[in-house]
Amino acid sequence: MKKYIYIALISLAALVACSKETLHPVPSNAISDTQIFSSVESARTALNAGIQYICYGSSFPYYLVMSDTMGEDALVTAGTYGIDNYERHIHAYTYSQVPEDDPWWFGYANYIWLYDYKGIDVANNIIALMEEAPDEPGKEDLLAQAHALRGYLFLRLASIFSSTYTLNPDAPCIVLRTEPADGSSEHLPRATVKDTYTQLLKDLDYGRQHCSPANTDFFTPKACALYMARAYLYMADWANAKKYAEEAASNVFDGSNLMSQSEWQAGFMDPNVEWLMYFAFNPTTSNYYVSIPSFYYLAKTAYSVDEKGKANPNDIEYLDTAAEGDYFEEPLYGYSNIRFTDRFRNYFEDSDCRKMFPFYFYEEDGWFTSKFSHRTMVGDADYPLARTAEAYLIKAECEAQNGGNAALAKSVLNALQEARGATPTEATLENIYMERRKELYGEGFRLHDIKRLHQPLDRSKDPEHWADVKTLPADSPRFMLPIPQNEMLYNKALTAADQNEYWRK
Amino acid sequence: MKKAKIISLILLLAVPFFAYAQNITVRGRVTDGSTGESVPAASVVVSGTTVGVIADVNGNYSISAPSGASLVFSSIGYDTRVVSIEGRTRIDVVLEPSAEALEDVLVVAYGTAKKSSYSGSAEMVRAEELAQKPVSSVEQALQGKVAGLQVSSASGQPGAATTFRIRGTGTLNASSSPLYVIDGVATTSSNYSMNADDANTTTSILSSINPQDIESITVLKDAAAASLYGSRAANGVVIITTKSGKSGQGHVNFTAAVGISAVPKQYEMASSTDYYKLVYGSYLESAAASGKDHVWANQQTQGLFSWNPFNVDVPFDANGNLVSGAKNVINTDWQNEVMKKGYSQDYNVSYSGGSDKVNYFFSVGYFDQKGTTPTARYTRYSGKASVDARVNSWLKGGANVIFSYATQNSETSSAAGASPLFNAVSFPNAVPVYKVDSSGNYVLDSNGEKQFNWNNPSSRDFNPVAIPYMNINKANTARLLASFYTEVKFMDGLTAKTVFSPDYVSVYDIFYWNKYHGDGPAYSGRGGRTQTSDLMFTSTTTLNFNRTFDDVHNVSAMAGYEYWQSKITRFDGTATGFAFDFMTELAGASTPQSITSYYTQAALMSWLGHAEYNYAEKYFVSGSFRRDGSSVFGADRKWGNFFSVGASWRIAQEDFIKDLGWVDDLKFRVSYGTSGNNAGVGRYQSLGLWTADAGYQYGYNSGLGHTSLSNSNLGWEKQKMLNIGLDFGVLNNRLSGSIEYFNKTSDDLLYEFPLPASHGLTSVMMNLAKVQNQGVEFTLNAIPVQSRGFNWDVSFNFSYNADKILDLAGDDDITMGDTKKIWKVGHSQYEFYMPTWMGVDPATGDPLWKAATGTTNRYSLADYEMQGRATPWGFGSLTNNLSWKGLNLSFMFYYNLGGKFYDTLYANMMHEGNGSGKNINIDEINAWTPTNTKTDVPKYVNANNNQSNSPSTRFLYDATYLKLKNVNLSYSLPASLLKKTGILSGVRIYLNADNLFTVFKDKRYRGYDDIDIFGIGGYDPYPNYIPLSRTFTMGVNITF
Repeated sequence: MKKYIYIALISLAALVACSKETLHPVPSNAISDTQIFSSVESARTALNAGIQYICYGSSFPYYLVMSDTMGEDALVTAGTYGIDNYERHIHAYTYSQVPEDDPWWFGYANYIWLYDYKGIDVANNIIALMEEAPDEPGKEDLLAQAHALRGYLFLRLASIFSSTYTLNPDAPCIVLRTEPADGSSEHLPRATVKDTYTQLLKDLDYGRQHCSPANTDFFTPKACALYMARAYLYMADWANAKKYAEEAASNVFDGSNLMSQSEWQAGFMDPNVEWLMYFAFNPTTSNYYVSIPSFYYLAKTAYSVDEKGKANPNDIEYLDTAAEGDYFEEPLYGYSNIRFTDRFRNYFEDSDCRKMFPFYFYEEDGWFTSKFSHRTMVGDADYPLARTAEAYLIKAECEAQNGGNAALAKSVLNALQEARGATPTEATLENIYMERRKELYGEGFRLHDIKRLHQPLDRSKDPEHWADVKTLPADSPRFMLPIPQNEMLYNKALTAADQNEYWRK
Repeated sequence: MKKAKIISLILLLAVPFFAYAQNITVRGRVTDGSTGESVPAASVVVSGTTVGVIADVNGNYSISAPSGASLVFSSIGYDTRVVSIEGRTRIDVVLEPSAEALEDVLVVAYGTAKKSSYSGSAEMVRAEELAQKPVSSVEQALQGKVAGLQVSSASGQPGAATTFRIRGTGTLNASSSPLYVIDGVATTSSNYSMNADDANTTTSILSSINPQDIESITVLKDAAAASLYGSRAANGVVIITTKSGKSGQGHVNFTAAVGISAVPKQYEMASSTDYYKLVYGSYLESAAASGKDHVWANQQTQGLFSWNPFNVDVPFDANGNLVSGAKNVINTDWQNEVMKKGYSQDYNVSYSGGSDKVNYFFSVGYFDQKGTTPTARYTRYSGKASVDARVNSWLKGGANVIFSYATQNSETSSAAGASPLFNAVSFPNAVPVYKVDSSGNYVLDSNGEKQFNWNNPSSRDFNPVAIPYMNINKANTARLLASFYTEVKFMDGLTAKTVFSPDYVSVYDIFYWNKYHGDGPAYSGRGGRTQTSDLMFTSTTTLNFNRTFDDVHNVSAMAGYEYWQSKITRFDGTATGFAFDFMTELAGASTPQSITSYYTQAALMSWLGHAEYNYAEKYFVSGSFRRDGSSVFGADRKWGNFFSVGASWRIAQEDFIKDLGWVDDLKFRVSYGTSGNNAGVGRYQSLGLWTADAGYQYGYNSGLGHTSLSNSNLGWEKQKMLNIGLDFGVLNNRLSGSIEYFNKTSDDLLYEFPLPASHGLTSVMMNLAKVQNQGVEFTLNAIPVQSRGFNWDVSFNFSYNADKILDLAGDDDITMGDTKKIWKVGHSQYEFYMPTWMGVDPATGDPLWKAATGTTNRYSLADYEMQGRATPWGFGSLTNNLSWKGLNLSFMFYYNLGGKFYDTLYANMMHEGNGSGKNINIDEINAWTPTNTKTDVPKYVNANNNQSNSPSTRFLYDATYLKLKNVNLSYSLPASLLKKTGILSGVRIYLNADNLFTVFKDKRYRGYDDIDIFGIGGYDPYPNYIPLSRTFTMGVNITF
């Protein structure tokens, strides 16, 4: 009898948990394609992930800092003046970027490309899967955000991976992926510059017309207009650039919609009236060290270093003194490896609120800037992605072109200059270009201006520049980054001939 | 309750015997059949009762028993004998050493098998062969023991994981670790520690098993042996059997060992003077070009190092000569500062014994190993209890419970500045450990203590000698692995067995970055805790049949059902803003930083069966089948079937061989079967997923990132393996061995199909490619000398393995940039693919690589070429074992033939200015100059960007080497001496040395004796692991 009881028990044991669901478990911290696009509310979480790629720590700082250090005003410390550069940014500064991603500090191209396309992938998924979804509140803004995100990232990619529109609109640009991709999707070749701009303008325009975010940390119609103005400016389409710059500034160019001098001097970290769109930084989830201020900001004052003070690297007091409390009142620094030339600093009058270059350790190392500050700790700062001041500069530049309104150009330029505490100047194109440098330094414009204006690079007059590359001719192929090696390897629509000229085998 | 039932059952059965039988007293002596000497402490039990006695040290016993009963004589290491009393009062018994029982029974899938009849390919290593030395995990002791098995430790960090490869790798992307089965329960080898993941280190869950508790390890190599494990068996199976009690007198065993270890060889770095001169020379050159002077060049050099290693501000003049009075005052050997001697200790006590009713084994162990870097340490407390009870004639049951708690303190290995290893090879000698003044004297603080220096050009605010003590990076692992079984005998030869095994792993990670230096100050201290647990259940029920018909037809069969499930739960929290460095709990933090939790689940349900038939122990056939349903695969491919067939012919049993007289064993075997591989597939990888994570948040809005593309057809890798083997033993088995050939093809390989980055996701997991592994394994054991006092035996094994990609989903080749490999049809998956180094341009000092146009000095324009495969074509070991009376000396050489590896560490220290300020190898001193043009080292240029040290054949080496892996000298006290003590029954003392030296064929190689730190693929961009150390151990093993 007992035997049979045991047999029964054993059979029971054998039947433990045989349900069909057992083999189809669902994850606890992830949802499927169909679930996430089942409502606007859930699709919004995908959009959030897409937006965060705009300022993703592994790509955005490189894109942004590079756009300044590849010019003549900014540089990366040589690492011989007390603060090491940790290799970060030096290969953009020295024009020694490579297509390989290893070691990574030689090949930012890989990271910028990858993470921008991750943002584009999110946008593509939202657009493809939500367009047909039933109408509900928020759907229009969601789709508009996705379009704007895609257009914005296409513009950013186009500006660094291809030559300029005005040089050759038929030159190869970026991969224009506008649909979600999977393992069986067709591989796409590089689209032309012209097609890329057509697409990105279409996307930004969609955003401009349909965006209605609750807050300016998402795409706003005005920010989209400004990005369109920027794109048209790169295309040298003055009429359209002007039109959208006016829209971005609500056609107010009297200085009333600009930030105050004290706001400027507080260091960029909090949004204000002038910021048409900003990136919201969350210090509890983002990586401080690779935020923008981390690369620019040491402090407004530093112990044992007075203004223009020289310091022996061995004597510069670092974090240990800070931790003891007294010498740095501000948050501690991050990489702090970007400097500006003395010549650039001297472009500013002392009355100019933008003259935010508190000190250097060694004259030859160049000046620190405190334009980008932070709140509670290193890197804790919101970051402007569109400022009305840029609309002023675009408007002034377009009006200063042949056929424009020179007087209007001057009044717009002067309104900006006066708002910053600078003496008004004539609105020559040269002066406007200079004003762009002074207003937008550290915000990722200089390289793209050099390119679109077909200027040469000339660093030869500044003793701070230590890179071998001191000069480059206008339209140099070295102003582009290489197409990343992994794209070259795995994109079957590309051959070795599709690589940018300087890296082509 | 259960116990009470067992006891009452025993009493019920025993009482009638005592009540009605007439007892007599039986005396006698138990002797050893091979030596004629007495067997001390043999167990003598009246059959069918618990009545028993233990023989004395001379083998004499006396017992009272019913005159018609039988006596059961047993002792460890001997065959048990049952003798009927038949009224006799004196019974002398000769026990035969159970050679067969020990040597010829293999633990195999779901049971045991006689080695003589087994048709699969399996090798078993016993406890005594696993050299007794303090290793944290037994895997490390297996290297060289089994043909076809490659063991590599990626790190000398105590408690770190070890990589096993059985018969090469039949997979491209999936994991190639074997399935581990502990006491019949398939278990995990995952890494559970989040700290370990973050710090690029490992904690081996297998370390939670105390090696001293292991009775044997069987490695199942072919499909016939492994296919009963179905979808998890394709990489082979490692079966670990822990100790259990044996019938016979109880024993107490005590072991103790202490060890000392050190990393034997280091890279020779440039002195601070030599490096200074190189950097200074380059600055002097640019000073000349820009109108600056030598004072500037000195200043720049000191700025680059962040220290001036000389006693004067301008130590070198414009001609590059040391000025008078200048002398070097800082020249730190950072490798020496970071790497220290490691110490270990290991203590174990066990009790074991049993009667024919109940067997037991209990043990406790303590193991502590301090690594060779500042705070690396692994401490384990373990305990085990195993009881088997024969409840009655048809019911058996038992439990086996293993508990362990381990704490691992590890150094981070990620390339971030926190890695002591990275810092040890990258801090220049010009940087001091402690703050010094310009004369090189310590600058003391107000308490007269030396102060650590935090300035260096490599890792801001780090000091590898100080930071490990100030930060915490710890994993606490607790594990309870239990199995309970019940076995019911229905009739002779038919039994049912059910095993239920919970396995609970809990890992609690602790990290803390101090407030003052390193990564922590920006956060004013940052700390985190991660709690990970895995609760696994396995339930196996089998029906076993075993019968012999007509004396010659032996049939056995097994059928069963198995269910496995696992749920991994994780909670993780980080906080910043700590009040004090001594209060590192998150309670002491002011700001929560990130908090997350999630779980993952997996399940596997299986039907299995196995049958075997042999005719007269001469001709054998067997077959097995398994059907698996697994949760990790795509909705369209949940179920798979696996089978194997095998046959063997014991030729030695044939009369014509028996007649020869000198052949003891000769067996031919062949098997074919299929198995699967599901390892390495994420639990939800078949689904297209959007995953919630702090990294996808935007501002304070939660975000879900696109993390995988869906593939409902994702299934297991299908492997087919043919195995042909011949086993032999001749001349009284003085010469024995086996030779095997295998051919395994793996199809539908899980393959991380690379996508262009412009797709958004860079890969999708698919079943696409096909690879083949072929190999030959040869094992030879010889006993050249076997005399009454002296024994010399030699064992040798050799494995040849070649892998080939047969199909790549229609592609001809795919470049694997991450690993510097190319996958190309017809070639090994380990084929290196990188530019060919062409030396230095004697005219300019530029690096040169091969290019379409001849050579190029721009790395990006160099041609990529296949440069040979990373894995060896042959490997194996040679062990000599010499014993004389109680003295035993054994030594093992391990060899590796062919294969290549890439020395990233050396590449990093031969940077020619590409790694600004990072330390350089002494070879860099030979860099090109206008007067030194015949050199293989390019010109040194500050802030260089010519990529001269990027991956190329410049740093690719032949991996052929010979290693004296192990030497062990032991002495066992003679039995005669032990007898006099009255209590001791065995004492063995030993000295053991591991990793004594390695000889490399490639004389260019400069690095550590341990190339496993570069991994099985021979390439690791950040090999900041602790190299394996040379270890000396002294121990004693006492049995009471």
